[in-house]
Amino acid sequence: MAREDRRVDRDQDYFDALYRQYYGLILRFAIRGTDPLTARDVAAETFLQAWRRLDTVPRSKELAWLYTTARNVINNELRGRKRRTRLDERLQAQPADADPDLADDVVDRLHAQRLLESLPPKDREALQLVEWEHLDLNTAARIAGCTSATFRVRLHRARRRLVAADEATRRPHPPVQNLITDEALS
Amino acid sequence: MTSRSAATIMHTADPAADVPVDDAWADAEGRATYERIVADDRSTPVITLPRRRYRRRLALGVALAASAGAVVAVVGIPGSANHGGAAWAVTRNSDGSVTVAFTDYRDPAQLQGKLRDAGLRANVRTLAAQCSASRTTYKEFVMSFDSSISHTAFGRLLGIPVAKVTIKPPSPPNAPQTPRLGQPPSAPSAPQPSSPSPARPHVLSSLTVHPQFLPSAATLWVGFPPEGAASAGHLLTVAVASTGSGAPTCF
Repeated sequence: MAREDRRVDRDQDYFDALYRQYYGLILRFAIRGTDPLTARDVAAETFLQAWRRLDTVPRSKELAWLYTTARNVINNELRGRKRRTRLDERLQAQPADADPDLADDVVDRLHAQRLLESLPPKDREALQLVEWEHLDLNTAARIAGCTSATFRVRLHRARRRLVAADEATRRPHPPVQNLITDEALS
Repeated sequence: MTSRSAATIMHTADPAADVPVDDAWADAEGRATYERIVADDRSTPVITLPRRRYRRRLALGVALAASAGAVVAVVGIPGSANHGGAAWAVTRNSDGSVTVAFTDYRDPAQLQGKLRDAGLRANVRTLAAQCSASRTTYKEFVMSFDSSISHTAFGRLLGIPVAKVTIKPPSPPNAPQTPRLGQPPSAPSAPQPSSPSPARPHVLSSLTVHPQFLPSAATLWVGFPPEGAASAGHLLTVAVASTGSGAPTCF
């Protein structure tokens, strides 16, 4: 019994350290993948799975495991949703008489998010893992489920496509939504 | 025109750029989540929603509904054969919600399995006798409803709306008097001497849950009224609780 108690204490100490070190990162990752409200649930579910499967969490690679689990939780959460539609709704929801500076920031952010949304999902994920989560290529590749070499190519292509899409939309006349097309990205 | 780098665009697009989360584990929600998790006994396996199977079944349901000219597809599960007839029927609606119509409060384990097949993390229990006194009360995450109330509620967990639950009594039957539990409704006024089929059982209550509002960290609890309490008007007790936090009060 004492041995079992020691094991439970040891597990809780280990989980406590994981939680303190990585909860914020996983929460931020979830905010980027869903929204601030849903993100708390995603983080809770991710760490609940970690707690229940503590023996299977690979030591020294915990962060990659947590990101992968959170990614799966987010994918389940978002399945069936149409993110582009939500973006359109958010764009349309901007009040016309909003503070100009604030409105500019919001429009810039939504514009950049729309550029990102225009990329293929794997390209988008590669950019997010490296630029937002600041993961090294090997860890990011593990989370994305591909080799480091494949990930490196994917990341390079994603950066190129994102910049091309941005340049295309900043030309003077045509409206943004008509320029973010496959032709503009090729 | 100068080009922006991918890093600059990504920084601009970052929805969490201004969100301070580094000490999020120590705020009230972070600590509450931690306490709930470590209180879990780890004996319950993590439930993975059968998304693909659910989608296929939903598509099948829509196809059945279309072929029948109905709005919804009905998946009726018979209750105990000893009682004759179904105790409840699970219906998948066209908006993705799931409705359970109760004609009796029996076979909670079967209903639990059916709800889980429908993609809901749900536990179904018959409440203990002392819980019959708690009708029409509101507690945290626990919503009880009187038969006279048609009510829609959003449970809240961690400050987040987690479930849209609707419990409503059925429309008054054509018959002037309401049948009691266990009795068939009274015969229709028009004589039908040649019809050998029994009258349809009276629906006591119905529960509609929207799975899309139930996040991955939450579990729906459905409590059948204690034995004898249904005839006194007690319907269902519904709770939405954090997965792994244990059974809510009275479950």
